[in-house]
Amino acid sequence: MKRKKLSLALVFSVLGVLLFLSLLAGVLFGSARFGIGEAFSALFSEDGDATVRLILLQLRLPRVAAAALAGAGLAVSGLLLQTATDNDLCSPNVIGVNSGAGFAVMLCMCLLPAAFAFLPLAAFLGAALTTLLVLGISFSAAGKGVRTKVVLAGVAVGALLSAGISLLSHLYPEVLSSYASFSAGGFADIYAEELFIPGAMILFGLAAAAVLSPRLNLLCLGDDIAAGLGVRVRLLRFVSLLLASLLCGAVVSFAGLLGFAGLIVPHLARRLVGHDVRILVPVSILCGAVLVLLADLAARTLFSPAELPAGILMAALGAPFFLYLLFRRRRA
Amino acid sequence: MNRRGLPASLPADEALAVACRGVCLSYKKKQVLCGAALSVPRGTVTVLLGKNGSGKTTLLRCIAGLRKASAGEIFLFGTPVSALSPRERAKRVAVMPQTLPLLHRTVAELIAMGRSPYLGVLGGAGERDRQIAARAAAQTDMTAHLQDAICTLSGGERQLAYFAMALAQDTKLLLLDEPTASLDAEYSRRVYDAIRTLSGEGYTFLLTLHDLDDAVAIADRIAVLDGGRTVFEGDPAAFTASGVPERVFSLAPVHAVSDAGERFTLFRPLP
Repeated sequence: MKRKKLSLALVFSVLGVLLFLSLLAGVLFGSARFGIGEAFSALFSEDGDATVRLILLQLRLPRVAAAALAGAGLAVSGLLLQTATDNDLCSPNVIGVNSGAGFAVMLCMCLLPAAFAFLPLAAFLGAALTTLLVLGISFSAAGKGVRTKVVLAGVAVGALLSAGISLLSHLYPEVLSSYASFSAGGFADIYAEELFIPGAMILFGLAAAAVLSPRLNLLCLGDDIAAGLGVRVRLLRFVSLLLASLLCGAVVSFAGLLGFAGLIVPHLARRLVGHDVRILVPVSILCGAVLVLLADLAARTLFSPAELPAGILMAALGAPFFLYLLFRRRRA
Repeated sequence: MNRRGLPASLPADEALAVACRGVCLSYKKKQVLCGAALSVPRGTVTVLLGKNGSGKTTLLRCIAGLRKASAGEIFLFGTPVSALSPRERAKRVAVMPQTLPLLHRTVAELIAMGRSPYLGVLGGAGERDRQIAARAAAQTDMTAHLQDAICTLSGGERQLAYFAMALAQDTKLLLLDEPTASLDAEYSRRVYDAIRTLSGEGYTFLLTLHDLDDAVAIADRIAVLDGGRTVFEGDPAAFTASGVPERVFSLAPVHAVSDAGERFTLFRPLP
């Protein structure tokens, strides 16, 4: 396994350029298309087109910001989950964290329909409680084999929460349409104010993940060696999982149940730069943002003027990748 | 005085790298250690012997601070191990467990991880860290393998790579759990040679072994655990003559002289 890793400078420059281009494309392309000059004059000059300005400020900019934040947040959430449980198949939706956040959001929409401001908090609490529940089950069920038990417990808890979501949608049919678009995942009708709290949560989560990354790097050595190197293993694991829930919960609160970004991106990043978590955090942030931006762009331009939820495209991309991982693992 | 301001109840002997008295620990209602005692003088190689399940690994983990003993006292260089923060502990004692994970990391990355107790918040390594890591690679003859992935190494090379990581931790005390259990004769000899050389340079080693021949050949001191209790502590000659090999391991010492005129001791099953 002496595969040559790509040079870091090259990876970061290419990803940086890709991020810039996908942000630009996200702003310019859509059901209405603008040239760079048109967009620039609408935003920065007095005599620019007011409609263009309105579209850019009210629709496109919040949308690309939301997509980039969601991609980065989910990617790092997946990376944290995979590193803390030492299981490559972990990701927010595989271990039921997404369903937990979804259930909490649904509950909040049913019981407190006016309280939009609480949705990020509800999503975080739902994600965090589900993480704790899944980990509690998997750690108490077995001393060894925790890596498999996490996935199994996650699937079981996820199924239970999905049943809860269905139950709520029967009891409160009026929230069903908003829940349908929520569960598909996407960035239609995002407005800027909606992003402030979850955006801050995501930025905090990303920074905290970067700070934890040198210690997270040592978890792959096993608990004894990591502890011997001065790491408080249990505390580190707990904090990382909490951060993963924070990130996932914040994303779910505005983007719905975006599938698979949290699973694919860390693997993609490892293929590019190897297994050093200190480098994986920024690379996952960039890859995640680019991937979700492109998925959203494709979702709203492929069948324009009709629009697909970005989550559907992510899932269409993610499911084959997940299968590929499973088969590769079996061969290994 | 320890960090919590309590006086240590035993006078701390700073000439000892490790001092344990009356260490007890139960696991799942089973008493794994009851009254284990051990003294490891600085700069020596001490071998901890015992049958499977006698509590060797558990005692090693207690000394490393990875498990908390339910009773008894453990001092590292005169300081109670419970009074040290994980980081302070990691700067005094390095541990190499028996199971060493296969990783997709290079040997160089692994050795660099040994420096982590000394790194700042963002984990950036400095010139001194790089020098110590390079020295650790040289001490274990792993310099030629620095760019190899751990998962591609042979069992023996992997053992040496993790040994290099423990050395990069730059501690004066190293705890090695069965460091030669899965190695062939050549790699075992390389590990033992490295241990002997380093102990001559002032490093202190505490290792668990199950091979009495190797133990007597390499150790300055031997301690024997039986049923979680220390039943012998002393030098190899005293161990051979003590009757402990017969009683605990059902092995009898046989003294021999090699063709080169070197005297050595082997252990053979009792008739």
